[in-house]
Formats: sequence, C-alpha cells, structure tokens
Amino acid sequence: MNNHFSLPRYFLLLRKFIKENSKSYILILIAGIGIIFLVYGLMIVSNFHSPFPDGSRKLVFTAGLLFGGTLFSASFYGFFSAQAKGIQYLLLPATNGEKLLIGFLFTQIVYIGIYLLGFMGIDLLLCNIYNKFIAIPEWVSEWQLHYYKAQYIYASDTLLLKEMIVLYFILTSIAHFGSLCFTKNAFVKTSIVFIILLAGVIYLNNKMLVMIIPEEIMPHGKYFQDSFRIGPTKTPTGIIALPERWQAIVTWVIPTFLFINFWTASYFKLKEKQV
Amino acid sequence: MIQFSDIYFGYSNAKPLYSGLNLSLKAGSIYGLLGKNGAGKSTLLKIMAGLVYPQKGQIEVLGANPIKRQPSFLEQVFFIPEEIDTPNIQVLDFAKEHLPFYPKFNFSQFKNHLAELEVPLTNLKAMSFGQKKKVWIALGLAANTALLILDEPTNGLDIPSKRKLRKIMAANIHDDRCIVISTHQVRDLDSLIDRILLVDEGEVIANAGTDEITEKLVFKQVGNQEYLEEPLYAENNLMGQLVVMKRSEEEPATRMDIELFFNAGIANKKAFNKLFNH
Repeated sequence: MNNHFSLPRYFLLLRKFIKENSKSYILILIAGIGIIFLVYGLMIVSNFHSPFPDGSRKLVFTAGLLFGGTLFSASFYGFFSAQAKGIQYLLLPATNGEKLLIGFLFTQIVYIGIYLLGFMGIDLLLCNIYNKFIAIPEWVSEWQLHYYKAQYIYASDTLLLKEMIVLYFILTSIAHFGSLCFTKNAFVKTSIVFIILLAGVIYLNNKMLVMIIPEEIMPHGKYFQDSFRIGPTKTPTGIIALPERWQAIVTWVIPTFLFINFWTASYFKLKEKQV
Repeated sequence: MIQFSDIYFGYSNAKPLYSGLNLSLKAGSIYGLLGKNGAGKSTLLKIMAGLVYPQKGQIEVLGANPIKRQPSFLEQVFFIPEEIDTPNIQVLDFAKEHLPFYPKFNFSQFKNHLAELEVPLTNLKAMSFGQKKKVWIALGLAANTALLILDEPTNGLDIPSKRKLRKIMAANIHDDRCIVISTHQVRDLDSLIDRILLVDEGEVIANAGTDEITEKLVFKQVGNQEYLEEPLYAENNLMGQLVVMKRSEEEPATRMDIELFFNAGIANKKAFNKLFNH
C-alpha cells in the first residue's frame, strides 16, 4: 500500500467518516440551527415596535460562528477519550495527512459553509418577517425610518463578515490543535491556555515597547495597535505608524502565520499521538 | 516477525515498566500473553502495534518500525482492544467501510464468522456488548492481516461463543500469520494457545511453546509430601498438592495446565527464566 498521500484512499476515509458520524452531525446541525433560529426569532418578535436589532444580530452571528466553530473544532478528536475509538482511528491504514485532511475539511470548510448558509437563510426569513410585521411608532421622524428596515447581514456589514471569518480560521485552527493535545475537556483547557498565552503576549508587547521607546517620549510604554501617539496625551509630539504597505502585510501575515503554524503543529501532534 | 531489542518503556520516568526488554515472536503461532494486572500486557501489545512509543530500543514488526504507523504496516496489523466501540450503522456496512483498507479482507469469510458466532445482521446499536465484540473479532479475522492482536477477547462472551471462537481461531492460523492474545481467562483459550509469553514486573519470564513446556515440566496432583524431588511450585488443594516439577527423561509427559504454569512462573521467576526465556 502506498505510504504517501493518496486521494482515492482519502475519499474512502471520508466516506467511512461520513457514514459513521453522519447521524450525530445531523443532530448537531439541527440543534445549532434551532438555537440560532430561536434566539434570533425571539429578538425579532420582541422588536416589532422597535428599530431592527442589528447589534444583537451581529452578536448572535459572531457567537454562533466563533463559539460554535471553536467548540466543534475542539471536540473533533473527542473520541480519543474512549481508548477503543482512539486505537481504531490510529491503526486505520491511512496516512496522517489523509486523516488530518478529514479534520481540516470538517472544521475549516464544512462547518463554516453550513453555518453561513444556515445563518443567512434564517436571516433572510427573519428580515422579511420583520419588514412585513414592523409597526413603526408615529413619533418616529422620517430620517429615523431606516432604523426600522431590516437589511440582510451579507448586504449590511461585509467588513464584519470578513473579519469574523478570518478570526474563525485562526481560532478553529487553535481549537483543532487543542483537541489533539487534550483528551478530555479540550475546549475548556484550550481556552485557558489561549487566554494565558494571549495575556502573556500583551504583557510582553508592552515590555518590549518600554525597552525600545525612551521613557520621556512615551511614559510607561503602550500596547501596540496599528499606530500610537507619542508625548503628552493632550499635546502629542508625533504619531508612530507602520508604513501603509507594512500595515497591509501584517494584517495578512499574522493570521496566515498562525493558521499555517497550528495546522503544521496538528499534523505532528497527530503523527506522534499515543493512546 | 516481531523483534524487540533492548526496549525501555514507562508511563513516567520515575517508574519504568520495561527496562531492556528483548523479545522475539514468530509467525505461524498463537501466542498467549499472560501476566498479573498491571504487569504491562496491554502496553506490550500497544508497543507492537505502534500505539505507544518506547523511550529507548529497537522494534521491528513485520519488517517495519511500528512507530511510523505507515499504511503498508497498518494494513498488516489488526488490533482488537479489550473495550470496544462501534458506530451506529448496519453490521455489513461496517465491514464494507473497512474492506478497502485491508487488501486481504474477505467479505464472505466475515459473513461466515458472523453466522458461526450467531451475530444478527442488524444495526450495531441494537447489539449487546458480547455481540459487538464478536463483530470485531470476525472483522479482525476476515481482514487476514499478518498480525492479529487481541486484548482479552473472551471478556463479555457467553460460554458457547467462547467454544466457537476457539474453533474459528484455530481454523484461521497459518504459517504467515501470528496471533497474540492477552488474557486472564486462560481456561477459555488453553487449547488454542501454542506458545506462552509470561510477563511480570516488566520482565519476560517465559517465551516458550506448549510442547517445549510439557517436555521440560510435569504438572501433577500428588498427596501431601509424596514427591521425592523439590518441586518448582506447589499449591495445596483438597486432594493434596498440585505441583510443577522438572521432567526427567523417563517420566511420561503430562497435559499442560496453563493456570498452574502461570502461578509457578510468577512464584519462581528465576527458574522459569532459565528454562524458557530464550
């Protein structure tokens, strides 16, 4: 048997995976769609006399995408908690690359694809319901009327969609790696490690800025964002910002770097997995 | 077929399970891996399959390094753990999904084994633990891998199924295949096993064929203090004592008693090591 990546074998593995897991995934899908529909639906019904709850909709969208996505990714290898399943999985004659690609497909393509389609379908339906049943109070001025018209999420805020999708890919690649590192309670443990590391990075970022920028220019350092002012707060003496091209590169390089790194780490973790 | 050279393994550095383990297993035999609880039997099976990695030493299984878990190695190995798990699908679909991964998989053989073991052709979810275990055993045998590893295969099986299992397994051993069975239920499989691997405290006490054992040892029931020579092991029972002694050339061979052999081996490691560990 070929010891390198084989596409026909990958499809056999995929077929086996779908056949063995489809019922539980369909249940997850129904539960997920049901929860979103219920929460979003209640929001709409309770706002038939109020402006469209755009902020709350964004919150539901983001929570479902990021919380649901990371939870799904962090539990992808939950079967390792049952040793028998772990043994079957590791000893199935397929390469680690083929096995990892199943995880990649489901956490990076299938989940987000189904989520976006599901959410937008619900959004389409509920926006139409809102627009049909909205009772605008008489005291509302004409210039405020647009607050009482629901716009589909994909048309109203494309930047949010883009940012959240990029964040989704980063967070789920971390959660997927966590699923391979922790056998039990992977989501909770990965979240704790992530928060500790993030706090550490922010702290180190501040300490590095203190080291490279003199105290008299920028007292106590700062946390680097995309740019910052130097000198007194009220009368700044200058603004430090990355060159525009750098800014564009950093915006793409950091997420790509994290994404590739965590998937590479997942590959080696799977390769060295012991049960 | 399986060669362990100077293997060191432990779940923690402070407490090694195996230190400098050397072991050789040949094809064409059914090995009975015996040992007390916590002796490292399951770990030994996992090392063979590449499920855990030794800290030091060389392993060669079927000419490959199991640690790499390459498909060409995995297609020759089938491992049935003590605790099993099955998905929620039809039993024949379950086999069909495994079939393409094992080149020598024989689907009609699988169906025959299911019939012999009286497993219904239903959804796996509707089956009892014993029936699910029989499905896995049938799958493992039908995969026709060169190495079949079974960890406590008779746990959860009823008495008639144990008898049928012995029959099926005996019919499935051939010169190119090695079956390793770890078990505490030695009586269930004593007529099947033709080589015994006795481990205790990270050490292989005996690795010998049953004919070699009966050639070197006698197992007999004696009255109190009837023996002339000091036995290797003796245990009291209602009729006197059950003893294990070295066999002299003129003495007739006795039937092997695996349980007695096990107890004797654990109690008198040094003598057994000298007699059988080669």
